[in-house]
Amino acid sequence: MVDSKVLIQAMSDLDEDVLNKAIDEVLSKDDNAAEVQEIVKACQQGMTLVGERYDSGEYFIGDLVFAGEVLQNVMDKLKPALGTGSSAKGGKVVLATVFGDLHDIGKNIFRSMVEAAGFEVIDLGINVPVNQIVDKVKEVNPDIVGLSGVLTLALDSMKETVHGLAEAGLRNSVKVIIGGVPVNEVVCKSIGADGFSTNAAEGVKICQRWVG
Amino acid sequence: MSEVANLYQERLDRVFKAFNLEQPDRVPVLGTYGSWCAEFAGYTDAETNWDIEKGGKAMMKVASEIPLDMVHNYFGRPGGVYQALGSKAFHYLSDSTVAQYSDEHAQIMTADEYPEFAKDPFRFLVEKILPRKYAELAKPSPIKDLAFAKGAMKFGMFGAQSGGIVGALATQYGMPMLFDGVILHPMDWIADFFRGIKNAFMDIRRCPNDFLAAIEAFTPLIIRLGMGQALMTPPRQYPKVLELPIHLPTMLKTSDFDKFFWPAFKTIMEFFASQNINVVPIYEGDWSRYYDHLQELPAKKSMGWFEYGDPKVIKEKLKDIMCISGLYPATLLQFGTKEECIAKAKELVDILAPGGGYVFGTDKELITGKAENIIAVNKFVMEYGVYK
Repeated sequence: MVDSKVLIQAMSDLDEDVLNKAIDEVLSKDDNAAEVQEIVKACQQGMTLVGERYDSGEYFIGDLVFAGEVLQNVMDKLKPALGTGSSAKGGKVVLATVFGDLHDIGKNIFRSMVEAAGFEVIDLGINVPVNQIVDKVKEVNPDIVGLSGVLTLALDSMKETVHGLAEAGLRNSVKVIIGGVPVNEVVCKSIGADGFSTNAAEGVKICQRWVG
Repeated sequence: MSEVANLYQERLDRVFKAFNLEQPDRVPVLGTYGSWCAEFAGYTDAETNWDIEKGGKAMMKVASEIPLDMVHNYFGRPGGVYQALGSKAFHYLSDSTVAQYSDEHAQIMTADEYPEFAKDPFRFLVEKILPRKYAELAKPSPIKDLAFAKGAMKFGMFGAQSGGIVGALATQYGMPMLFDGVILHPMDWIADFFRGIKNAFMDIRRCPNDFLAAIEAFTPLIIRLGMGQALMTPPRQYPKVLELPIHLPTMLKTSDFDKFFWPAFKTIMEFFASQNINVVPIYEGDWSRYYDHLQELPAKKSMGWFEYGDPKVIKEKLKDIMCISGLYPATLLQFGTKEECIAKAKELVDILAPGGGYVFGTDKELITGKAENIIAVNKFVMEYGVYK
């Protein structure tokens, strides 16, 4: 039987070796559905601890990027053994690095953390035009739209995206959160977003408050 | 001396007094407008990069219409050079955006190649990295040789043209340019150009010793690169100045910073100080964890360009070590009202100006911003920042 405590600790310590060993062991068994679920849950809890260690100033962005990689590898390994619709969803997020910007490190950190928190994420990638975001929002009806960017130019694109959502009559049905180096309160107001963060873990908390 | 020559000398004296942690006649104002100049002159960033003539005109417009003491750089990227070599690294997403570097295209080296890299970095760069980075250099001779010659020629032309721009700024507008060259820390170099930023974070965890050995082996080469650039400009009265943008350190936990960043950085800073070359590290992100480290740098030999931080703490901790610049939010010039912009400038000048060792500048290179805000703020600093 998997030891959840050990796995939570391993995820929190970003110790891939311990995680991989446990996963391989479980996957080698025949009737492993319950244990696979157990591992997913443990990794999600471990990611929460990673977020806390980030908040407390022990971990930094490099660690979060690595945590995202570790979690991604775990999920890739477990995917074949995971049934569909097995984990509870916290809400739906459409996520994008906005038009004119190629930077996606922050977006990817946020994605892995918000996924670990139980959200379903539709990641549209980088340099995403306004109409593509608007169309996707129409299609999947998310709770939240997350817009990311590093360049100060991205702020104009964020503003246009929020405007695009409003024009399509979708602004009131979603919350918009913006993230990235240049965002702050002044910017958030000017763009017309509902929230902002330069810290992925805090961004996740904002999202949880919105759907909670 | 002519009026322009006087102006030029006056501005240089002002900036280098601050560099030397002294109090000039007033707070010097540094223009960080290498990219913004395109917007200001009605060009796109791409236009100024492909057509150096336009880049020069844009800088001249800045020098003649914006109240300033010095421009930091002419930030032209020579499009022709990259094209001749077949680079895919820079991207223009539209007419309205600046050239960007993609992390995906930076990933041209594998983690198992670190030992080979560390054994002979120069050879590895020439034989392995360049052909991967520049498609034309991967082709057989004589195509690659021709591409190299074409790239070198284009680069020479770019050098001559940008030298001409520096000269024109000086002789027509009395406007000095701060930087003589740019270098990166070996870790940032590896992350930005060879492995990609994401992979660099993986390497720190998965093959830390190989990563560190590569950084150590690469350091002397970076020093050579910096010296090469400094020696390319003519001798002059004040120290040459190198720009050193810093990317990864604030994303690392402190123990990783101590291991992978600090030793090589200190070596580089001490070397250039010993050659009387000033360095302007661009301290991206939140450096508050590292102010104590920065106290170990050679005194009066660098200007810390800070993106973020409490100006009071920075002044308190570093006023005897380095001239301080930056911290003024570029986004305020983009979104703020004139009054808000001036209020912020006053706040920074009040804290950072006393005693000298301060150059007014934005937290990052300006890409976009309202000209009326920029003019109002610079004018304000020049009038308000007079030392009595």
